[in-house]
Amino acid sequence: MAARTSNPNFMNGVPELLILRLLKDNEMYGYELVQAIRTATNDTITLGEGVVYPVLHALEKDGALKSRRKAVSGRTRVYYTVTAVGQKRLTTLASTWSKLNDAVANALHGGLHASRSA
Amino acid sequence: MLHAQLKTVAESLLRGGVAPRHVRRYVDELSDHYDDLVAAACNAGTSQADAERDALARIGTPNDLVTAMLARDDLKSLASKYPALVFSVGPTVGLALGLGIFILALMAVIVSFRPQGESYSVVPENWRVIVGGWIFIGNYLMPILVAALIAKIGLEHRMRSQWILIGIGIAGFIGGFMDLGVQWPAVPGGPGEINFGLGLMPPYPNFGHGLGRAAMNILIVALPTLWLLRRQSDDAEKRHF
Repeated sequence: MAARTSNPNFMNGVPELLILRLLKDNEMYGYELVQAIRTATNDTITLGEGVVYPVLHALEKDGALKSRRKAVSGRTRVYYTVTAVGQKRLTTLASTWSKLNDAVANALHGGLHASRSA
Repeated sequence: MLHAQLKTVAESLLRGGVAPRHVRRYVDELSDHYDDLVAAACNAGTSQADAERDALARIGTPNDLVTAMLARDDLKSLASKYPALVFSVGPTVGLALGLGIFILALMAVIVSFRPQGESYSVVPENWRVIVGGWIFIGNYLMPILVAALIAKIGLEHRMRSQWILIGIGIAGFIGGFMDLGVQWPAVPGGPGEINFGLGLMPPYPNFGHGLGRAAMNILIVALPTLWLLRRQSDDAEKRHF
């Protein structure tokens, strides 16, 4: 029987997944993105506001995002948008998350221990 | 209050090995984010003082901000990941590049005085003086500049003093024994040459002179660097690092 690999990015990939998904539709800057995550998840997931930036910088370094400084209403902000590499990464993360979601749902509501309720 | 907090965050990140460009950008974006939080709160009717306090709380504590950034290994600088490489090989590469630039510039000047159709150059006397000055800069100032650049990189990255001094030592020592020169033709149309020597190879020509130059290079850069390191250390103590 082949050895199973663990899912090291099980929780680590969640901020990246949300960020890539939201930036796929619209170019946003950090503050906007944090508010968008709150809205999109009905305040279920609230990122520590300042800690979104290391995630953004790391994604940009990996080529998944690109940024530019844009002046809006007299202020300049760094806007981020998804690249082609980011689109692929989003697809992979979303697929992994979907499988994990199904696996957990199966474990909670069915599977080997069907006789025991969750 | 934000300014002091961000300075603490920046210092912690630099000492933690995060590349300065990522630290600068992080601090700028946090500052913008804070302004947006305050503006949004004030627009919603909150008092300025309350808006600023809430914004600080929402940005996150310095510890949270630092931890999040330090967790990203890919944002660390080359100098922090490979200090031995940067501060031992780096100065040698810097000197080689500097030497290359000086030699190419010399060649460009000499070739520019080649009469059309001829294979030799005739460099006027006033230009020979300028070339002499350029060679002086290459031999005496270029190693100091390379050592100073190494020191600047080390200070910016908050590297340990040992690495910075090793880099200055290598640049200063090797640079002290470098000897770039031009041999002008004895007769017009005759052969000349651009020559380069390294006094660290047998028979170690002018070894005493080279040692003196090396000592001068190292002292000129190391003394102000040590003063700046002391100042950085005092600032860090005030912030309880």
